[in-house]
Amino acid sequence: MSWAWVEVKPNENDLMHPGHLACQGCGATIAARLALKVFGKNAVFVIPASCWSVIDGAWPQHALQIPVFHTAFETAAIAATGIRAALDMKGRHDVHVVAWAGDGGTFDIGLQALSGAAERNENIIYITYDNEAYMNTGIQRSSSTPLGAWTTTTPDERPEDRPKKNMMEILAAHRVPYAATASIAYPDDFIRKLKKATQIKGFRFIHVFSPCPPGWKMASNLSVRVARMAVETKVFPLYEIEDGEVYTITHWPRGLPVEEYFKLQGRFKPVLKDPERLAYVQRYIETQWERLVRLHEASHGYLPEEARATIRSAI
Amino acid sequence: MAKKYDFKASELPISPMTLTTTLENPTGGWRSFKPVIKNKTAPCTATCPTKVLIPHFIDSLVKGDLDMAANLLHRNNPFPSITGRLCHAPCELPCNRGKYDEPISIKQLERFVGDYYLDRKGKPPRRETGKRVAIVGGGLAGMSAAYYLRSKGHEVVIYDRNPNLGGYLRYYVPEYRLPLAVLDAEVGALERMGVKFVLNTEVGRDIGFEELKEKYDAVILAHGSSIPYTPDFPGVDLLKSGWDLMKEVREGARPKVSGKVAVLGNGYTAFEVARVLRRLGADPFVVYPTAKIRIPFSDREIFTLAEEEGVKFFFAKVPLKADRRDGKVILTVAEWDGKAVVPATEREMEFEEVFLAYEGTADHGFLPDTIRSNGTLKADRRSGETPLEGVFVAGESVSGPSPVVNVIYSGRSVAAAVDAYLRGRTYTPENMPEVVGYERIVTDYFPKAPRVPEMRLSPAERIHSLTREEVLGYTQELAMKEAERCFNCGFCNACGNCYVFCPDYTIKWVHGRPKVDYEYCKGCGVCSEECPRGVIDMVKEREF
Amino acid sequence: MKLIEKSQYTVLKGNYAVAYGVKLARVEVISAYPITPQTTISEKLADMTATGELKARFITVESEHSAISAVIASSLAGARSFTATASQGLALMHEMLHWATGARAPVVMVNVNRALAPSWNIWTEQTDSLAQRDTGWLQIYNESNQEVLDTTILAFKIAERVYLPTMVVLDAFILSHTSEPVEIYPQELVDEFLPPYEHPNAINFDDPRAIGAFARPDYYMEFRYNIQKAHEEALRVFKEETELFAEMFGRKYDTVEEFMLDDADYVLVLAGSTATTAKYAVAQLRERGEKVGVMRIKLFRPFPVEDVRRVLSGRKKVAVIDRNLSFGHSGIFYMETKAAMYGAKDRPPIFGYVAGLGGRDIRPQDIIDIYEDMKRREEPENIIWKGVRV
Ligand SMILES: Cc1cc2nc3c(=O)[nH]c(=O)nc-3n(C[C@H](O)[C@H](O)[C@H](O)COP(=O)(O)OP(=O)(O)OC[C@H]3O[C@@H](n4cnc5c(N)ncnc54)[C@H](O)[C@@H]3O)c2cc1C
Ligand SMILES: Cc1ncc(C[n+]2csc(CCOP(=O)(O)OP(=O)(O)O)c2C)c(N)n1
Ligand code: SF4
Ligand code: SF4
Ligand SMILES: [Mg+2]
Repeated sequence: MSWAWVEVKPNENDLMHPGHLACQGCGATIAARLALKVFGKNAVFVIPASCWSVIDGAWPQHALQIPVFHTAFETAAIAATGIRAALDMKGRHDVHVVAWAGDGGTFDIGLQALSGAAERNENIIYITYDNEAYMNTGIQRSSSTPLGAWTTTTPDERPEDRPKKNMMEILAAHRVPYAATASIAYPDDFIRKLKKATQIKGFRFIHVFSPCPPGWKMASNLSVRVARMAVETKVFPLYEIEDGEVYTITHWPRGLPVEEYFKLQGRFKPVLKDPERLAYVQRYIETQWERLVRLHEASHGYLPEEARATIRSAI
Repeated sequence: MAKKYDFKASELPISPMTLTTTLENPTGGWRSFKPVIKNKTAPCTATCPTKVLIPHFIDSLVKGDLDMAANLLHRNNPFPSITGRLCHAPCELPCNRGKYDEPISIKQLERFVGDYYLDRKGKPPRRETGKRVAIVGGGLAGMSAAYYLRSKGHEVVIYDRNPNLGGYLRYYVPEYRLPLAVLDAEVGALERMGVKFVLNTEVGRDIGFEELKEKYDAVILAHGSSIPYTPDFPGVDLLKSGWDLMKEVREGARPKVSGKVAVLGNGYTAFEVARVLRRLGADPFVVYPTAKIRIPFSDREIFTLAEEEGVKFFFAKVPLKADRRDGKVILTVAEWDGKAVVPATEREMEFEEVFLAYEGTADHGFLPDTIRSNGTLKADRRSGETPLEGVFVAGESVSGPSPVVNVIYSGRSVAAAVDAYLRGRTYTPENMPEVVGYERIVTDYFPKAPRVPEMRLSPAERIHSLTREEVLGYTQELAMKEAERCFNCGFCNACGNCYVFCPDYTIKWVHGRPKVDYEYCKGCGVCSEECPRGVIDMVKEREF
Repeated sequence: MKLIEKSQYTVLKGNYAVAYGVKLARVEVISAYPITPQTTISEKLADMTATGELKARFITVESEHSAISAVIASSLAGARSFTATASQGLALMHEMLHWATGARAPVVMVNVNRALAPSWNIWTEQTDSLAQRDTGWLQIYNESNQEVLDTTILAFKIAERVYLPTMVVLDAFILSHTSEPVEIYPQELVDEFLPPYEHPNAINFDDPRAIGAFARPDYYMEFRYNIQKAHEEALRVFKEETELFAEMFGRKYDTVEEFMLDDADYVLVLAGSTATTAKYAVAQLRERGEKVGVMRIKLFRPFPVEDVRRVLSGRKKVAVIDRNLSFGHSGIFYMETKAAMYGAKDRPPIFGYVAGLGGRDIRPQDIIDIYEDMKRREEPENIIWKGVRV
């Protein structure tokens, strides 16, 4: 091995200044750094209320070396649409308008505007950095909070009892040209998807998994590791959906037991202590995964060899 | 602290539009641990007797820079083409990759790079120091010392009683293990470096030790351990010398030996003699004092090869007496429990011939008593310093029978001690930084991949030739493939992980290497966690 | 021939007058969401943009919240932007109304005054717009369809000079769906009046900044101070621009309109189309020898304190007629007028009347009744209900 990355190039488009206000080990910041490597200077980030409205800096400071448009919590998709409309009127077709929103701003409060923009196939790129709760306000559950997780509004005595909302399916139902999941732990995959997205016109959605050390009750150095484990345990599969129809799994996970992922974080302590619950979560993960694998198979007509090892029941 | 401004309302932009960047916000102050990028020692290197910079040279190999790979490799091992064939490769035992799937085939990579460089090496030093060193014995130890001393610019003269350099390697080690051409090339490289050889000259007979001491600024004794040990039991004088057989064969003779023959010995020489006998057409049995499981690691490879070729073994047995009857040798052997003969286990066996192949001992006859005691030399194990000023010892002459890599290390470390001596400095043995354990390897970054097997002759092919090399090694393609498996433990190979994952963009990429910007680094530790090879440590910044 | 002579004269409903105003202002981004009685504005603009009559992007959003968010963004990305709504829609926008001000987005919005639910009621009432009083928007009320068209054009000019969002307000149905003769000015003349839009803080890829960044207490207050200053500036700008507008287009507007006030002892204060009814009633009263006149408030924010004082000081009595109500207190124009008169010299007693909520008709006779009621009363009262069955 030497330079380990195919898609990430050193010293190319390093458009985020240090000194920003993210916590130590913030996954959302890694996500932005990587995304900027693809967009370069020709992009504007539209940031709704979220950790990122703080991370970019307190006035008069600004971390990103591209324009940033801060907007209200629920308006990422529509503000991006408005900017796109204005830039189109000005003939600036060369720039990308990127909505950069948290999971709360996407799965919950921003869903309406997002749905509108997706359904109209607005020519924007919507990226949700998913830290699975309202972090900026101090770790409250969102509809992205996964089964079994602790947050301040789903305390240990009553941890999250509903599975994470499947945003990708919602986007697929809008028949947008491109929707993809990605993870900060798989930069090449993420960047490939970003590149693909930039080459498509219309509404593009990328759901990037971005761990939050304080919110997930873990040490700050574990961000990337935990993101990797989420993928390898099939908790957060990496795939893309084209035109709402064609499903492609872009990374075949090792299929490790979900404990491997849970045990790195304090927020899953209650589930880890409850074998029944844990088994239930594992089963849920398996069924979701198998469903996805079937969609991949239906889209492509076959499954690659790596797929077999990840499936429990024969399909 | 973030910079503060005293803007008046009239100085503000119309909307809350930023005016400056977060570079004004030195977040380094948030930190309680700081990442320190520091190369460490790989377990392979730590275990290698001569401390070959294994992850380093393998990295250059991966990057396709063969010359750099060779340079790094030669730093601590002047003869990789020799070790690449003869070394028992202790480095591969603790290889971290072995805990994941299979250890790296370090020896074969070394051989590949060594062979690539064989005809390219041998440059004279840039500067001459004017100091002169005599080396007694041009075996591997002498050659190794000569290589390093010459590279430092000293004039080096090797005295050997034989007509050519190499010692054991030239006169005993069979050609199917080490082709003469390889040894000749290594000797040629020394010659090109400007090492002088005085051959067919025995010190003590053709030139006195004292004379050498006077003529040179330093003398290194590297005369090996060339007197075969002969055990003491009735009828031992009826038996043949395995050593002589090896030498004859190496010189081209092909004596006829057939039928059941026995080899008596206590080390790899015995195994090797048996293999030679097999090739000469005999059916050899090795009588070996220790149990099969006790065969030392250094001898295992040859044992396995011998076994594959049909050599048979009597383990934990010692000879008690020998007789000659009807042209056959009747050998009486008994069980040996490691300390004594087990009573009532004697048994007679009939052989066409029996060969003695015990490991050698040194002949220090030509040396003054001041540095001898009980047949061994008084010398420091590392520096080779003796009580006589300016006289050093290297190789088997001091260590007794040893694997090639130990002998090479001996030559190398003694050369360093001599160099220090010649420059009036004190010799300090090299220090190995902390060893990187398996727990620091982020194996997620390495897909499982089996070790790439080297090309070898089959046992059936092997026993038909005494000269055809039995291990053929790697092609470049195979070498690259194997090299890519290496974790490069503790050695920054510029994979870029720390740079790619730094959430604060405080790991900069400067001249192809990572560099921490401590002004802003918040000390999250992601770089340390994601460095696949344990190069980055988190060091406590201050006490609270 | 002078440019103005190229004007077209036509008969337009108030909502279409808005649409023509928007077209003449060469708006580039429009986003709106259907709500009676605003809907026909959107429909007309959708038509105009679809046929290419107006070169603009029309974003057919899924809510008013999105409509306003879109135009704030497009405005700060450098495009002249417009939206329209009413009542519930305006209430839904509330959060973003503050945002527009804070971000200094000079968007123009038309709000067709409509009552708020429940009960569902689509008829005119001013509470929807007046409830947005503190969002920092300029608010301009209108009496006729011509004024609606004129004010739409003026609104862009003023908004873009002070970088404040501006709301143009007209009455549901009475204006929005009622046809009146309207002069549509030639485009060239409007272009002369209204130069292309530019925002110094617009998104700029060559000089990347963050717009709307969070500010700590050390800086926030200065930004707020500046917004207040911009409002004060807006008052001057309003005067300048209406002056210029009068020169170029021949119609003169002011912060307040004075009708038959020269010698009036009694003043009726109101805003919007009811002013026409009041003027009609006052004309009748004048015939009876009553010394009464009308002051119509056109500019509500910034509030024209000086003009109000100038007009009302020294009168005998003032009645403010509010088609709106701030529950728990009084009509809002009443409240504002009273506040403006605090500390003024020769301050008259001011009487607060609430009438016509939820679109109930305010007829000339109602105005006359109010006038007479006021004349009769000794002590001013905060709320005097007109026409409610108690
Ligand atoms: C058959 C055989 C197989 C082996 N196989 C392996 C193997 O597979 N792997 C491995 O690791 N090791 C192996 N070895 C061991 C290896 O060969 C030795 O470790 C190594 O060669 C020792 O080198 P040396 O320089 O110390 O001694 P030598 O090679 O013995 O060199 C001593 C030199 O000194 C010269 N000399 C001695 N006395 C005088 C004098 N008085 N004046 C001048 N010159 C003098 C001799 O001529 C000789 O050239 C093998 C050894 C043998 C015999
Ligand atoms: C309308 C509105 N409601 C609530 C808030 C408070 N608020 C700000 S950020 C936030 C949570 C954001 O969560 P998410 O989108 O997941 O982003 P994160 O902070 O986790 O990065 C909330 C609830 C707000 N700013 N606006
Ligand atoms: S993986 Fe490479 S560096 Fe690590 S111990 Fe093995 S050979 Fe040495
Ligand atoms: S992560 Fe890679 S580049 Fe960084 S220190 Fe480790 S080996 Fe070197
Ligand atoms: Mg979140």
